[in-house]
Amino acid sequence: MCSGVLERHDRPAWPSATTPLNANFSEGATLGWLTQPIDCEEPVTTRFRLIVLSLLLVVVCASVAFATDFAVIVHPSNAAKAMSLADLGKILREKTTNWPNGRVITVVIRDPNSPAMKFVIEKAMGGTAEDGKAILNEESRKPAASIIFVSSDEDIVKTVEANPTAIGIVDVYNITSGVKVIRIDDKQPFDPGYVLKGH
Amino acid sequence: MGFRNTFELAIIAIFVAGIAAASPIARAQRSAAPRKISAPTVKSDTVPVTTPSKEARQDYELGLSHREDLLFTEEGIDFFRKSVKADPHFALGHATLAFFTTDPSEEVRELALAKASASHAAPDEKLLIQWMTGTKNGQLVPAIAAMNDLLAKYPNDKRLANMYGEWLLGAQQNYDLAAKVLEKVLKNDPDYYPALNNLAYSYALGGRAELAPPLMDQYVAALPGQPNPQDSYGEILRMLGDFPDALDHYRTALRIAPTFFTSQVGIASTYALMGDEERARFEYLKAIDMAKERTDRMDYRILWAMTYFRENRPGLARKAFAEVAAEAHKQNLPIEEAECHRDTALFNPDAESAKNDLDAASAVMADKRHILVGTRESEIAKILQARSFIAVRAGDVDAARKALEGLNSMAQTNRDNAVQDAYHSANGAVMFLQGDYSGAISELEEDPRDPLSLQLLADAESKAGQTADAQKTLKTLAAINDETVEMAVVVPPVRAALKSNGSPSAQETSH
Repeated sequence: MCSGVLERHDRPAWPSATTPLNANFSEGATLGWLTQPIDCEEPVTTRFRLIVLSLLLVVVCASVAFATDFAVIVHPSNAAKAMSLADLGKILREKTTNWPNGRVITVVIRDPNSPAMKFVIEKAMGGTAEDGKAILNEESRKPAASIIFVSSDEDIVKTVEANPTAIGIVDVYNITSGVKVIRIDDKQPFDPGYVLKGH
Repeated sequence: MGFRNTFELAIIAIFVAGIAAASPIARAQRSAAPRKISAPTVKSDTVPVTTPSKEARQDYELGLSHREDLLFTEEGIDFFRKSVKADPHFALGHATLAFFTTDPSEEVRELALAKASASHAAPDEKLLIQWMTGTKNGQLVPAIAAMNDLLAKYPNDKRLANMYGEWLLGAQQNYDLAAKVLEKVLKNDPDYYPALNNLAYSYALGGRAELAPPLMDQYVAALPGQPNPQDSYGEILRMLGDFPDALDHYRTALRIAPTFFTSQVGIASTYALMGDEERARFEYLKAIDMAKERTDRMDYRILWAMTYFRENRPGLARKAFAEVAAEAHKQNLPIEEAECHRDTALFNPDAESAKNDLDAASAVMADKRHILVGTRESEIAKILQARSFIAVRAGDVDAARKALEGLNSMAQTNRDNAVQDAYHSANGAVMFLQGDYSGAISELEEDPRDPLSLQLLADAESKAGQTADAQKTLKTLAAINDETVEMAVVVPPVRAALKSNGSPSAQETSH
């Protein structure tokens, strides 16, 4: 029964391994060495076996990676519905500083040094992550408050919810209805070919 | 089945109350009364449930208790059916039934009814309906926003958060976020057992398996009189290749609840993986008898038929699959019918004959029977992926390109994991046949859980001179222990070859 959602049709196959469970097993073989009696009480045996098995499973699952889509979000009152990836890059590079209505854009993102931001910086700003970080961290941007670094996606969403001129980038699984997700290069998160699908 | 704990007694008490409310007199009184949407009986920390029918509300609660808390899935779905029967305008009931049912016709019907009845629901209830229906019809962005709104408004609704975690785990394979959501639930209530189960699976599938056993122990201890903790333990051990202990846990589950059919299937599939196909068939037949849902019964019949291929008796296997396909057709189960033909093709050593099998599968999907577009396209994607895999076996680049064309057009509009993964797999297959091994590797790595793609990946790595990577991929394949047809087709030859220090290729995987 598992979790109740992994039905036969959508159950993922076992993820990738870096080491076989037993290098010499044959088809249908069992991990016999793991089921040998150990000279101690049964609960300990069971627990020992589980620990060994779970350590093996860590190896089996070690290279699993999850791809997520990053959503570009604005305040619901913002008229913007879509923009190109190039235009997003210009905003991040401070080449574009105002919305069409003249109001100053405030960029709200996570710390550029966070792993989640590496992909976004490289994809949206072009060049290396280091170059992008340097641009985002330029001292000249701070007095105008054109960029705000926060520690979590939840904080980005809250900030954008409260600021009609803000634009943020978050893992799509963290959006609320208090923000508007805008299309990038005519696609939104989960669309095939969405450009901000990261790993 | 005896009453083993107070929780079960409570469930039975609610059930009895529900039966009483469902009496003919009570039903007549209800139908005679004008429809009145009373203020929902809201526990202040849970999402409202709006229905004027006491019976509908009770059945809905029983459905959630069975389906979500105890994982008696069939019973749970039956209660949801009773619930919407008691109140045909119960929007959340329809949405919940659509969300959980495995019957494609029912899914289509209930989604439409949920939409039609939505005006009867409370505002926050509408958010839950939006999430449930959005996850089914591809409206994921507003669905996720709706769920996050609900989680913020109802931080103590454990069942809501668990349901979300379960969806992230099963449908989205987003193990890290699932774990985060479920950890939060358990922080507030460390003994909330549905979350213990789902969190254990999130860890096991997400690469943090060392955290799963303590949760399983806790889960078993929390529900000593329930079968699912034992069933879950069995499944995790089977995945790890510890078949004897897996069987022990499945049997314990059945001792606790003799009708807990998923443990019976677990036993059957464990024997199938152990190579004892005769015993597996015997056990599958028992599971087929036990299951009530027609889709479950047909799925187990497919697994039963597959045992003949597993023991290399292709004549009997084709006959068995043909019979199951005919029965699926008779019962209007097109997905299962197509799967029979697809499975037969994957085991078929003759590429031309396999194409005919796949043509039969495609013909079933071309028949405009009433299933959701997404469900239909997922199966079509699997058929096209099988075509590309068989094309590689035959060295037929034109056939591989044709399969890719179909997937390419589908992948432009359908973000379903099955479609996207199949597209990358087929694209990798074409690149492989064209000699672009580096490109093939890059594409096939996008589908890292499918044995067909992993086999092609190992081939591409081998051709590209990346011998160590190819061996690593083959070992990954050899470590898979599940009951899917892809595993049954690809993994046994890989294991045999690894045992003899060889390197099997896709061309050698036809039985």
